[in-house]
Amino acid sequence: MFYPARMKEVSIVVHDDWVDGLVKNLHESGMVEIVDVHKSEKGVKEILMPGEAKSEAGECAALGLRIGRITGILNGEKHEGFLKKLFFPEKTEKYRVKVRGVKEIIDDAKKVLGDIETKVLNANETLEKNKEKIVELNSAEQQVSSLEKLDFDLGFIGESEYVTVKAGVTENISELRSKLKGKCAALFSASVDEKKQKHAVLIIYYKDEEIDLRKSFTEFDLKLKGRPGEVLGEIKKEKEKLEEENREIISLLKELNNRHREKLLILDDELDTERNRKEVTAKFGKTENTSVIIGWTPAKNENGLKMLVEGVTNGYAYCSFVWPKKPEKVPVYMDNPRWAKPFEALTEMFAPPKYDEVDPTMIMAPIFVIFFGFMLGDAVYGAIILIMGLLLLRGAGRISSEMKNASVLVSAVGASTVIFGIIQGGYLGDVPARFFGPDSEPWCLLNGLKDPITILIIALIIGLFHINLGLILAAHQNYSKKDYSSIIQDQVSWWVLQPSGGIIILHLFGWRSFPLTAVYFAGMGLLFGLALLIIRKKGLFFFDLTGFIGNWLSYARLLALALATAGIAMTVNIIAQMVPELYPIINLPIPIVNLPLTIIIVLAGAVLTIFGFKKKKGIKALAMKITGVFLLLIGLSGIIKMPVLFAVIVGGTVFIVGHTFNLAIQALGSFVHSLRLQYVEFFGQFYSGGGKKFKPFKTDRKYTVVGG
Amino acid sequence: MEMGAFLAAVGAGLAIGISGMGSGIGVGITGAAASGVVAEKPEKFGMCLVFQALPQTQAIYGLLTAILIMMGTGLLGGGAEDIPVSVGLVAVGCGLAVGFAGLSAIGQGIAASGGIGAATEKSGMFGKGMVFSILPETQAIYGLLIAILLMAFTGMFTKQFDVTVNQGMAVIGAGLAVGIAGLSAIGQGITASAAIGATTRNPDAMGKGLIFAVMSETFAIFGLLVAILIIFGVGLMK
Repeated sequence: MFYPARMKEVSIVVHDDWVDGLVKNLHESGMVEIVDVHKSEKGVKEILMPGEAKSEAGECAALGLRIGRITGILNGEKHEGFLKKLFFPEKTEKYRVKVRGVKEIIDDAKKVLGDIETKVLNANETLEKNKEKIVELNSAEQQVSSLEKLDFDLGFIGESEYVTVKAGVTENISELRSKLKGKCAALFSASVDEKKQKHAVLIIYYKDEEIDLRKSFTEFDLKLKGRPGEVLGEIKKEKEKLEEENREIISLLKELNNRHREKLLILDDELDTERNRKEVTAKFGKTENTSVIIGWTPAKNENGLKMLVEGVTNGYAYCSFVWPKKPEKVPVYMDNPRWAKPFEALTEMFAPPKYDEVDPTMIMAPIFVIFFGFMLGDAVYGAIILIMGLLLLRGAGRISSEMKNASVLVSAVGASTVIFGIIQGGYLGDVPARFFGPDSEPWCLLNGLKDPITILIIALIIGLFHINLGLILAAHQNYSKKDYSSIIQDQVSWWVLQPSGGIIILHLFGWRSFPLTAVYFAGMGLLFGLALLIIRKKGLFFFDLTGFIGNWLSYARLLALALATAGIAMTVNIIAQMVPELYPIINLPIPIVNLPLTIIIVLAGAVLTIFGFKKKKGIKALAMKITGVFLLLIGLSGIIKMPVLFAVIVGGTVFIVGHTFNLAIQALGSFVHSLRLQYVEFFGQFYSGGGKKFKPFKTDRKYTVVGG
Repeated sequence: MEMGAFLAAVGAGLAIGISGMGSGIGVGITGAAASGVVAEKPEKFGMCLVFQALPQTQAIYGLLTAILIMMGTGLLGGGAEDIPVSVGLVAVGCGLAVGFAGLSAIGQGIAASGGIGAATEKSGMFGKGMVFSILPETQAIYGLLIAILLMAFTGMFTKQFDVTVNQGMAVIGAGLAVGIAGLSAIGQGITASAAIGATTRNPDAMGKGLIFAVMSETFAIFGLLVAILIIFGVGLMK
């Protein structure tokens, strides 16, 4: 149960008439990882001819690329907010399709592409070109408008028979003037931006005159005719024309998208599926009339797979299943029950297990969740995380299985945090007792800020339990490898050292008294354990000892993080409570005491605010919002008195911002520290990982489901 | 102000002051790596922010200790006049422990900047980078642990003080032991950063990289053990 699924090496020999049908069924079932026969160690490659990809494979790939490009253009760029994508993603329903033959799919794809490909590509090209032109026009518009005050025909710019004419802007007109002094040149200027001392300039000089103007002004390279005013009008017209054209193109693309989207996405899926099927035959071995398929399958699939092969081929196939001889070659399929599946990602983040190694996911999952809850330990924070997890589950969780796993994980740690929050009496820190009086102090089993030593002792006991669980797994692993000496030296040594070392230390420090025989035996045990360590590690045994103590004391982080969450939450509460007390210092003088007047002001403020937020955009809406909120505040302050209002607003802001920050940073801390205790302290005892994941030959349809 | 309250204030100052400096430097190192990354890949902004949050924890522990000292000695909430000198000395010990151990943020910053680089290169490296980057925080946790033990054993949580001046002087040694040994985190950060690079190239190197990186913690544990022995030796742990 705690190991990856047992795998069998499967070999199938099938008559060529049935290959297509078999490949299709294997693909749909997803039971087998197909290995390239010519790279396998089966000893059959020498007598087999190499298999080849089917002729349609290339065509499917090429058509798939073209379809992908068209759907990409038609879909356009969508800017969906990050939060919206997570919690409220656009619902995408999969299309129900019937199974079609590859020829039909290819013909259909060609027909659809024939209908719309050129149209879409041309439209897209014009669209891009227009966009570029608009960018150019914008820059020209900006340059021309800065020359507007000089009012000359832009066609003069350039070189003529005798003179050179240049136009541009400068931020240092005096330097420019001094450069032209004494030369055969004229300069006309007009101020554009007085603050920056920016001037538009027109310089005319005799063309044989050598003047270096580069550093003094920015030259405009304009190829336009007419006075700036007229040119600006033309540019504006040209831009409008291009924008109009673009709007037409976009609506054409939208219309094409509406009409063909379903078809294109279905074809995308179908072509991808077919390409995989037609390419996989290159991994097969061939004889004159048969194909040889070699692969891996979980042993529990053996009967199902055998029935599938025989059913599809009418018995024109031979199927054999063999237990693997070299475990390091076997792909790893982590076979955990459904509840533990979401946590496989955490094991994989370290490294997938080797085939003959314990898969720690099922043991790690509950402990990870418990540690997280222990360290965050606040019921309200936990509830927020739990709600986020559930929202995620019904948001992005419905779309991708990875997000679904992640949301289950988030919900689980959230729930655990709620439970530990209740145990530790944390509700946004000490909110109940601090704001509602000592009588409202909630029930609590362990208060870290009042009795940290108890929590420390619990943390260290958990640590001993966790490390020894790792040692037990290591011993079990060594036992199944029949490596008995490792059990004695690496595990039993610690099981002897821990109790005897504990007794000796407690005895020496006088914390507990033991009967002399117990101390005597403990001393013997200590020597025995140390001897085992020294035999194993030689001079390095000392680092093993400190390493073990370090691993153990490392669990003190359970206390440290729990205290940090509660302590910082309490600090936020204290500050939120203190800030309003500053009121007399700030003391805003707003002497409104007339109740009817304040009520009118409040109503006016409320109306303005509502309209302001309804309008959303524009300077008017902004003004309405600001005045509205301002009136509301003044009015409310008249009713409920300024200090209370100030306390609510400023204290409330500190409270919300502070707790949001604390939740974010402590949740992150709890997550990584809980993970660290798994990876370093727990995995360190028994787990190295490094297996190759099982990658079955399986369909991966993004937009469609078969059937119906 | 009486001497006890004065010393308590010094202790609170040391706790947040030194650890704040450590976090500042660590966050700065990470921020430098982050700004380089977002110039090329603006979409990595959120990821960088998460890494940059890691070396902030030390200052949080510092702040926590400072607040606990101020509450325990009445600097916050009143009653600081009656604080005995011995308790003030203990506060200084706490401040030294958490303050110096907070310099571990420098090592964590180095590791986290390695994490940012790796996670930018390979998206699968985010989690692994996080795990390596969290290693150099252990030292800060040990510092906080000693501070909590000191406060608990001298009665600062319950305000029923039970400590002599000589004991107070001695626990300053405990604070120094665990605090300064916490600087081992800088070495650990350097190892962790290199191990992140190694794991990016070869994912299987993670387990061994962790062993190398955890090695530096040995010295922090020496400091922790000596600190605990001092607390025990002067008769505070009964």
